[in-house]
This record gives sequence, C-alpha cells and structure tokens, in this order.
Amino acid sequence: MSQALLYSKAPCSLKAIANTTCPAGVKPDDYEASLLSTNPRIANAGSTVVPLRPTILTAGGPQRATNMHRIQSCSVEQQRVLSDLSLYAGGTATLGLASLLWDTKIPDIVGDLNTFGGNGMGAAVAKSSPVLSAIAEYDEALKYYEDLANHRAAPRTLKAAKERVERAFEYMNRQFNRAALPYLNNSEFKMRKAQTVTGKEVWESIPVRDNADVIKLEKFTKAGRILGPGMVAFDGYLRANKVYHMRKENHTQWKREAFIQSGAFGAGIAAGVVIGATIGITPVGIVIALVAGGIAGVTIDRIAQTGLGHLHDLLF
Amino acid sequence: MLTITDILAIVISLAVLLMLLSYLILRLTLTRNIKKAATKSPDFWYDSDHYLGFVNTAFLALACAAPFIKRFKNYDQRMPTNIDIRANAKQIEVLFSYILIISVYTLVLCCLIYYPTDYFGWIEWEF
Repeated sequence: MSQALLYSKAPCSLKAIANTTCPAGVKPDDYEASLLSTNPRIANAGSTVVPLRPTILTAGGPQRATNMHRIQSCSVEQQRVLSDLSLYAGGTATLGLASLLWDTKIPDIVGDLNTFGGNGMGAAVAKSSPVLSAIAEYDEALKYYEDLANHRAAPRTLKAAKERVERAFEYMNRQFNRAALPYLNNSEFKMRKAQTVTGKEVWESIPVRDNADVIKLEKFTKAGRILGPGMVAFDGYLRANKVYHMRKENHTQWKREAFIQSGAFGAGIAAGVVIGATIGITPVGIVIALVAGGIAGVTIDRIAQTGLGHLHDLLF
Repeated sequence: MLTITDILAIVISLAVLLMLLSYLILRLTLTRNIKKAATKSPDFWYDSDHYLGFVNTAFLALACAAPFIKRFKNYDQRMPTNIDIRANAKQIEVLFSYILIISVYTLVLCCLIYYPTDYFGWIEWEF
C-alpha cells in the first residue's frame, strides 16, 4: 500500500479529490470509500476538505496502517510549512528535502530555532551537502539579481545575472530530483498536478512510504523555516499568527504575548546581524560569523522574550 | 525589593528598545548618507557586495564606532573603500552607532549573567 498526504489549495469536496487522484485499475467508488476510511474526520464524500489540513490518500495492497496522527496533530503553523512547500515545490521535493535534512540531523538542532539561527546553521551545513549547497547557490544568485534589478544595473549585467539564476535553478532542480527519485519511483497512484511559482508542473501530494517518512515530515515541519532569508518574513508571520489566534480565542495572555513577540523578533534579528557583522569582518570568516550570529540571535531572542515577559508582569 | 530577574528584565528591555531604535535611525540616516556618498563612484552599484541595506547598516555602525576595523581584509570586501565612513557620519549618527553596539553587547552580557544565575538558583536573590 502506498500513501500520500495532500494539502488542498482551496476548500473542495472529497469527491473532487477522489476523482483527480484515483489510481489506474481501481473503481472510483472503492477508492472513495477507502479515502473515507483513512480520513475519519470527513463525514461523507460531499464534505468539504479544508486547506492546511492533510487528506490521506491510499492506494493498492492490504490496508497496513501508517501512523499519520503525528502529522495530523501538528499545529496549523507547522502544517503550513508542508502545505506551502508542497504547493511551491511539489510533494516529492518536500519529502526529498525532509529526508535530506533528516540525514544531516539539522531538524534535531534547529527544531525550535528562529529563522536567523536556522539560516546560520543552514549555511554551515550547506558546505557538506550538494543539495543544500545548490539551494544556497540559487538563493545567492537570486539575491544578486534582485540587487542589480533594484539598482538599475545595465541590461547586459542584468541578463548575465538572470542566466546565472536560471542555471542555479536548473542545477537545484537536478539535485532535488536526484535526491527525491526513490520517492518518485515508489508512488503507485495518480497524484494531483500543481503549477509552481516558476511555472513548472509538479505533483502536489507528498508521497509517504512508512512511519519513518511520517517522523521525517513531522520533524521537518518544525525545521522548515531554514529554507532561506525570505523566511524571515515567514517567521514574523508565524509570530503574528500566534498572537492573532490567541486574540481570536479570547486568551487572557494575548497582549503579553504580542508585547513579547514584537520585541523579541526584532531583537533577535538585529543582534544576530550585529554580532555576525562583528565576527564576519574579522579574519575568522563569514561562515563562522553566520553560525555565531545565528546562535547569538536565537539566544538573544529567548532572553528578550524572558525579559520582556517579566517587564510586562512588573508593569501591568 | 528588586530581584536579579527584575533588574535583568529592566536592563534587557532597555537594551532591546535602544537597539531597535538606533538600528532604525541608522538605517534611515547613516546608510542613506553613505549610499549617496558612495554612488558618486560610477561603477559602484555593479558590485552587489557593496549593497547598502539592512545588513550593511551593522557594518556601517561598526565602522563608525570602531574605526580600527578598517585594518581587516574582509572590511575592504564588504564596504566601499573610497569613502571614510566616520568622517561622513554626523555626530548624532556616531552616537547612535555607539548605542547600537553597546546595547547589543549588553544583551550578550545579560545572557552571560542570566543563564548561570538561573542554573545555580541565584536568580531570585533580592537587593
């Protein structure tokens, strides 16, 4: 039996999902019934499947249960990491990346770090993994291109930078596919196609083979924020989202949380940058500076949370 | 009576406030001024290492507060070498550079005090 997790982009019915993902040689009615049995929270085939909640797809073979509750019990923020990435880069690449990160043991280290710390660690580990270095190279090429575009560089320079971005993207994709090939070959049933931001067509659902994959994905949801500098904004969003949900649920501590998170977010980033810059400018080097800046950013983020929380208790 | 936690909380909050304020002010004043001065060089923007934005504000603040960093080779690679940053900065910008650097290292010092005192259980001592 093979299984996959599908995060739908917009609310839709289970019947619609069943129609698009039904494997060859299986009756649609049987497939629909099997989907209902593996997704007990969905009452019937006409029920709406909401975004940010995974639908478990099953196909073929005897019903050997893979323990999916670890993924299902993740918070909305964690589910969003998987959902966004599967829609952005495709399900296979998501599991490929989760698997790679699992091998590097990064999730154990950065499970609860903020973005800056994650980036620092990522930069250090990127040196030792071809896939991560491909991501870093793409990131760097993209930043270089954006810098040039922002400052109205000459068309020839811009064209050369654009070509460099495209080459880096192709290289990154090749590395991704190479790493994700075992997962791609093992998927038995049709998976829904999606278009990424780069205009490429990919499979949207995340193939899951066994419990080990589930654990990798669960860890990945916690470490998924290390993917690039753009995720700093994502980190800020997650903090804002946490406060928003506390406010919505009339939690008594929501004002305190807003006070803490707003200060600590900026403090962590600014302190990480300053300390990284101090070390980076010395002969020690930029990689150690990034790691040290990351660690300092995380530590100061935490101590700022403690200090601001205590100050809030003293004042109010 | 104030405990060590209370004192640390006040110091940390002040340092966070001053750090964020000075960083913002330096980004809006010092970085812009240096950018204007640096763009006089015709091929300046074709080198992305010399991009002057949020991150480079930290380098500029360091260059203002500690001019001896010019001795390091990495400084030449990161910063525009054709201008003297300290000489181009106004007095108030130099002051905010000092505030930024001091507040960041105050936070580091607070970490060095907080975690050991918390570990040994001295955090609730009163003064």
